Amino acid sequence: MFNLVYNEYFKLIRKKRMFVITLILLVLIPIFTYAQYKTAKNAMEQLGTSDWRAILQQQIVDQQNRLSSSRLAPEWKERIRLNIKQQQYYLDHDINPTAPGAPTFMREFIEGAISLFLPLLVVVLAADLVSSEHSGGTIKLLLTRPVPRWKILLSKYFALLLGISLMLLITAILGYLISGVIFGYKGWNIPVLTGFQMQKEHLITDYVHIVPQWKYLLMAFGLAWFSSIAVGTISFMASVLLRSTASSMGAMLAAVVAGSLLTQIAPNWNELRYIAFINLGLTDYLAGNPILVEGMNLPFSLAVLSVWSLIAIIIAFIAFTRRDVTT
Amino acid sequence: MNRKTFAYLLYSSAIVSFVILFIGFILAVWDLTHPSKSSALAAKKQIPTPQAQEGLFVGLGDSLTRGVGDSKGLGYFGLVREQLAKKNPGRISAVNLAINGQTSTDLVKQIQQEKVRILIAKARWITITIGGNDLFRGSGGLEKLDLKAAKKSREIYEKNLTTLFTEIRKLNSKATVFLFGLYNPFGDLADEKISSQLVAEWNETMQKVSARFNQIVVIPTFDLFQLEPGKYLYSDHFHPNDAGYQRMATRLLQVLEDTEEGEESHDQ
Amino acid sequence: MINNQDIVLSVKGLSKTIGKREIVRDITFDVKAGEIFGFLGPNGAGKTTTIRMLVGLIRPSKGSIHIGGHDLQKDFLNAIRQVGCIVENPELYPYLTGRENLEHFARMVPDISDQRINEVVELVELTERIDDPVKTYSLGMRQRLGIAQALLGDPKLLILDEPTNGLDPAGIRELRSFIRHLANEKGISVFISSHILHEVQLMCDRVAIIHHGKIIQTSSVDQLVEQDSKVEWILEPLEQGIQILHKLSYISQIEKLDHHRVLTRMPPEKIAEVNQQMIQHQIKVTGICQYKQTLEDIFLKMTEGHQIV
Repeated sequence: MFNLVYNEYFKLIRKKRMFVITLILLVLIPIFTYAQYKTAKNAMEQLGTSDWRAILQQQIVDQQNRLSSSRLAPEWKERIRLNIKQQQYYLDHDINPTAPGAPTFMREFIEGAISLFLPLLVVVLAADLVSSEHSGGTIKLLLTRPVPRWKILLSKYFALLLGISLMLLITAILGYLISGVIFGYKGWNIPVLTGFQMQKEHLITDYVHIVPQWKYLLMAFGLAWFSSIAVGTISFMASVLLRSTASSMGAMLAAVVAGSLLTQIAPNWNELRYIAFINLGLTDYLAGNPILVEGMNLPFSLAVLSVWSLIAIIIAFIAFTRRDVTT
Repeated sequence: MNRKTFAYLLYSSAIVSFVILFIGFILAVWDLTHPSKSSALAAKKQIPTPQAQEGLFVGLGDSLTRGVGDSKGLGYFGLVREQLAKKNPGRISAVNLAINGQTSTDLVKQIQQEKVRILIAKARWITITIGGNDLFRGSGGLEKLDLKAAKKSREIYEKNLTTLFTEIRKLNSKATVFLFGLYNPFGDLADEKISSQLVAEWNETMQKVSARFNQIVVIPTFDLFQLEPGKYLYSDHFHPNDAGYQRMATRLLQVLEDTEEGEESHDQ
Repeated sequence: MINNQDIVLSVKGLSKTIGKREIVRDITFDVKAGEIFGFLGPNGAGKTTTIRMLVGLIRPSKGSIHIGGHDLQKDFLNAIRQVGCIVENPELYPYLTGRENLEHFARMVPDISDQRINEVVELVELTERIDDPVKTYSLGMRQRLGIAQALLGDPKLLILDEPTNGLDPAGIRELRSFIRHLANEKGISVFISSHILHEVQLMCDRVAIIHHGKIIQTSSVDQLVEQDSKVEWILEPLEQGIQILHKLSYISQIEKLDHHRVLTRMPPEKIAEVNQQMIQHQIKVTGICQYKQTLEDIFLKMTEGHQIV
């Protein structure tokens, strides 16, 4: 089994997919770094102070002013109200939610990337894992070895899990190294608040506690890992069912983008929460960001993602082991 | 590096990161599903000592300080801030804490917030617009002015204003406080007489309260908008427009100059 | 049940139905040890489907396949271990080098040493280019690399699907002698599919002919070519000539083409004898033309034969 997983992993790496993903990150991370730098600098120039407390206070007031706008949809108002409460909590406890530094950048990057950007990269990685063997014709060589089909598929799946892990490692390393050039490399031990809970429009702070940033990062990346694996598993199924790389990748990209659009467009549509792609933003629970769709919490999202993944993997295995190879 | 060694390196680093990420995931799930109520946070509530800041300009109050109606969104506050920054490059900071639609009761609540208090304590200048919402909401709206209700809300306003100034003075004895007077946005409407009289009464209240405190200046605006409201008011016929804010800013800057000169001469 | 040591591949009653279409109908044949077995049929006759069933890519609807005595369906791993194959084109991973491809497949079979890899590389004469990426290979080199991966596990049975497709005449000749070498020296049975009769004649010991999903004949290659071939005669006068031809028992078919020409079906070695008969009866023979037998001719003959029966 070790040999088989190594085989599949080796192909994954040599196919240059990982290389392309690294390139994408190499282009995007500096852009995001600069964007954050620019925002921070702007706020400082506007207020003429670098005191984060003053800046945060100003942000709170600015949001309160947005609230008074009548054009705002009620669900967004709720979201802003929760946001204000959270920021006020940070302010009251004298904790800077955005202390500059590469680790803070990593935190914000992973929180921003978890529901759309990372899934897209995962799709690029996973959606042709099996279908490329079909379109390349190599599936015929692969399946005529003295190895049962389920073992071949399982080794491919393990290789995918390793590939996703490597991808997150690369994201973390590049994020740290690149953003550190501007923000500095310190800040692993800054306190970060977690444990916010939401009940309708109320922010419950009873369980809020401080974790050092490194631990927060570990947890955030762990959650990102889980949701990436869920996306990867569903893409994996698509790559088994659809035999052309273009169609499996296209279908998965469409699904991921549609999922993230739907949350923005129709947060009132409650049944949406049973869709896997709505539940990808697991770090929102960690950061205490307001959740738009009612009835969603961490156990719920984990359950939805797990059920989808499980069904996907079962379908993939049944299809792969039963199906005739005719192409 | 050899291709094979490279592949092995990536293989082992993937396995290691797999394990680490798995641990991170478990930690996160554990942390979020087993919240402990014994939070060490309560003890952590410490107020940092306000540092003497060079020229902190704080805005408080309602949409006028916010700048509603200004096409650039600056308002008088933004205009004055720009001027101050031009005159004292690098030494001025400004925080606008005004909230649209705020009444004097809201403002009294707002200044109970810890961070707001810190900023007030550090401020060198504080500028306030407050009362417009009390007056025009508390008196039954512009269609039918209810004089009885207006009187009652003026009494509340007087009390709030006193609390506000007492608090500010408690936090900061030195800062100069500017309170903009009210104007009558309905100067060209039928009940002009009644509404103007109401506004005048409220302005009187402002003067009366301010006089009881040190370093509080009431800047009149009644005259600025009285004769040609159309020229200086925004299309909502309530908030000033660009030109209106410019007029308010000019007034505030004039008075500001006096305080600076006064301080300088005082230093000598 | 025949469990003869000599029979490497035994196929019995093999059928495949996809939807309502019967693609392969009740195929039965055996391949003996060290034999080169041709699987001849036009495109679309069901060759590829049969081969895919032989290597386990497609599940048969009916029938059984035994490789080296192991049932392919029930004991897939032991059965497939005896097989090396190229199905259709030799498709390998283009982004890996030749050696990486071989190492990849070697890892899927227990106990294949680096030495064994070098051995097969030498056997197919790819030593110089083995560390280049496969995407830089020519079709012939890919074909050889494909054979190398098929030989990697030391198979008893080599299954090649249209191996000469896309090769130039020199390459085809090379491949032919290589396959002969494998069968004669190493005792490997080779199963080759083809749609070119000529190729099968040159390469194979025995041949099965498949048409519309059915095997219509299994015989040695010699038998196949020894049978009648078409001979065209130009005679004058024609009518008398035809009368003489009718009297000869070994001429199976006579067809008048125009005023001078007649087409016969007869054993080729009897041409001289017929010619002599004509001269004896003072009929002028201005031309004799023997047609090379094509697959179509065989089918024509076979189906006719079936009609008679």
